[in-house]
Amino acid sequence: MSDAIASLNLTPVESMFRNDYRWLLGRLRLKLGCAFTAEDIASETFVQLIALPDPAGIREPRAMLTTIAHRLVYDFWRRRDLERAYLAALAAAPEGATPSEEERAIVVETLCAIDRVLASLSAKARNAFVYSQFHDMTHADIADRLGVSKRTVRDYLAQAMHACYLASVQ
Amino acid sequence: MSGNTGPASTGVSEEAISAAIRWMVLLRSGDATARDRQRFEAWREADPSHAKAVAHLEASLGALLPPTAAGLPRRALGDALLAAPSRRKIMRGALSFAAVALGTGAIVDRLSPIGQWTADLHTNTGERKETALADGSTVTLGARSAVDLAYSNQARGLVLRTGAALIRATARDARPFTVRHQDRRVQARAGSFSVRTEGRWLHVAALDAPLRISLAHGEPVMLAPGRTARAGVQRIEFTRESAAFEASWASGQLQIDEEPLGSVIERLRPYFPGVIRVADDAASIPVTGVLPLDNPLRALDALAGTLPLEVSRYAGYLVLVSRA
Repeated sequence: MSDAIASLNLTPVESMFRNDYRWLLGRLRLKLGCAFTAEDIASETFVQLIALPDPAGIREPRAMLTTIAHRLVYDFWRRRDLERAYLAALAAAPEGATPSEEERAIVVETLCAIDRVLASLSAKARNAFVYSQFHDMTHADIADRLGVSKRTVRDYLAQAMHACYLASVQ
Repeated sequence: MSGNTGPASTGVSEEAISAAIRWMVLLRSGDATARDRQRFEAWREADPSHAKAVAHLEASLGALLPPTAAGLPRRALGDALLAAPSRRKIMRGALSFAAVALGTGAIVDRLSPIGQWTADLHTNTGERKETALADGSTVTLGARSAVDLAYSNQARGLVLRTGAALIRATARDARPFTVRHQDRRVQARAGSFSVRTEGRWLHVAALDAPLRISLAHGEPVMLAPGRTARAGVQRIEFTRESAAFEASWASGQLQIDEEPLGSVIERLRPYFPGVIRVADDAASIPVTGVLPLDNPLRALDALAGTLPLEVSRYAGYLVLVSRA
């Protein structure tokens, strides 16, 4: 079977897949320790590689694959962290709400989106926005909590809102 | 973030957005007075682009709340965002080129042989094979399957390591024919039956003879000809498919009756030398029909012809199936 494939005339992208897919999959499997996730991320990496303007012209396919896979693995772990943190927060909440499987998926999706939007901000600006938007804290309280002036809190929130605006027009 | 902001994308100037942001920050500060609110209203009504900028900002903030959050505490979202640890440092160099070189033994995927070299009989991707056994019985292996022979003076049979096998046990031999898979045993006096691993389950079809199925513990279950069952680690369940459909892979034509697409594709995978990925929203679509196992791509195209599916192929090795 593999001989039959090797003897075909392969396009550059096909031979990239032949040569580099297993390499990438093996590396991801070592890193993630889960075959299914590794295969998912490896195939998504190729989907994104093939979507590039000139995939056949890529001179260092493995470097490019590593770059794409690196970001996907980051997203994967980040999503898992956010989901765990959310479930822990729900468990600690006095309301004791239990979301359905579907609600949970939507909430985690939203958390990832917010996280991406706020990624460009400093840690303090990010926290200021979370306190204001989700904890309904006043500027005075946020300033106290972060140890900065109210004026700085205002700047942080303006930066965060601008990031939200930029994300919404992309 | 490389935003192409401004009039071209939203019809609102960057100045109007900046002014609207200043107003909204003030109004949510906890310090805003009635006079501030009046001045804000006056500003908003002074120019249509001001009202537009405010509406746009409110929408982009609203997009950061999940649609179902009504019944769930909003505070928990904030707590989660604050509590999730930063991954940036951990990730540095995670997949860098300095990472450990990989032994080839660690890789098992569908482009390569199944890694069951030590099995008495095995097949690779896309291969089906019929073999005659010592007593005159035959076994047909599906793609990516492996079995060991288990013949002795008292017993005849096979150990199924993985995959699918169709057994035609000859009646000329009086010993019962036994197929073992982990702790599960399937036994026939004679006749045809099939066994197939799928995840944690062993699917069994009694074609023309009754079968006795047993686990490590508990009562054995008798399966009548024409019926199917699946044996798990803890229990045995009867299933609704006919035995002929369950064993149809052996003829190369997979017959499916109302099975979820996800599990149908699971059965096509051993016949495809590449990766087939199914989107979650497509995996639950029920499928009925006859699919050519030896040409999984044609099988997927046939499905896309009758179901709301989109099938995208990349370089012949990567196939994505999603809801159209």
